[in-house]
Amino acid sequence: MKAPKPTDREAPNVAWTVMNNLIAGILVYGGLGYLIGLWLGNAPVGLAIGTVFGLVASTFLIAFRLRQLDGGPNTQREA
Amino acid sequence: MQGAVVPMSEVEPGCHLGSGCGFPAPDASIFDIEPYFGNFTKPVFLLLLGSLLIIIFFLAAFRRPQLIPSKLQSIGEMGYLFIRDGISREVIGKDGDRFVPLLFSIFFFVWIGNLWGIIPGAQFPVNSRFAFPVGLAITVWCIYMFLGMRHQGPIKFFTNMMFPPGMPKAIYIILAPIELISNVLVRPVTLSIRLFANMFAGHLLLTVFTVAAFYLASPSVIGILGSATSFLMTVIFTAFEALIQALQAYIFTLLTAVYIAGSLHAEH
Repeated sequence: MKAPKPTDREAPNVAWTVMNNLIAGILVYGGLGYLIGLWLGNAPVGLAIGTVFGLVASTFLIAFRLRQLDGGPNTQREA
Repeated sequence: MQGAVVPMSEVEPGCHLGSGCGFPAPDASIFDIEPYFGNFTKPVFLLLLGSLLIIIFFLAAFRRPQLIPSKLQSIGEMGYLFIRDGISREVIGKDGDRFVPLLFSIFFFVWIGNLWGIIPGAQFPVNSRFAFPVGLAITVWCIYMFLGMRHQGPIKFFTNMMFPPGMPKAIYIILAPIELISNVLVRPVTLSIRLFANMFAGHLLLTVFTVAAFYLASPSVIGILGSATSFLMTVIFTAFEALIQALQAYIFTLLTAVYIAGSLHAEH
């Protein structure tokens, strides 16, 4: 089955996906960092490092997603 | 108005509510309404009344459908076509037609719930009580999780979600948990908070300006100017709220459709 083509109406979806991904990244890696920090005996440092890492990771994911959506190898930019 | 009283020295000469009183700043307590009886509160009443009004309206509109529609039927059809063509077919595609009743109900349910915020006499947006958007978001969550597991298979659904194609293999280890948490956990949370926070803030804003218009009304230059400005702001923000309310209902419905579409077809 073919997914519908992205349109202008998907703009809010893209915006909110970006936000969801950012929150999820912070949650996952912030949480993981916190746990590792707890284990190593310095939870706040672990939390801080994890949060930053999560932000970077989700930014990468978002960039990847957007490139796929617009300007990727098989999009009809010139058309 | 119960709640915190913040003294505002600038407006002391124009104090409306007796001498020496501060500005009664509205706070979260304006959302705590005494129940009529038991647990039957104003939001619950407005919600039931709103649902009833929607049902009556569309029953009346579609009771005896004519080829040349009456005024009421035209309005009803406009609403239906807006959801079907504007949201469902646009986002899900042709096979989304079976979800139109769901999207249609969600849109009008959310909208009337929001609309109570600016209807004189009611003036309380139902969705500014967090439980209502949460209930809606849980419903949407159950639907798209179920649809995804049924259409893509219970395990394939999650793996499709976690491993979007075209990514370097090594990156998956880092990004897959983000995708999973984002789609399964964060989606319903943001869906409900977005609706709740918009309605909460809108109601608070309207209350602040309404209270200020009343509070500042007194025979002094600051009082008259301030009161008039506050009243004007109340009117402007009421119009603005009307826009936001419809917009939030639209976004809620649109995102529901997007989530359903994502469950029906795996990403490519």
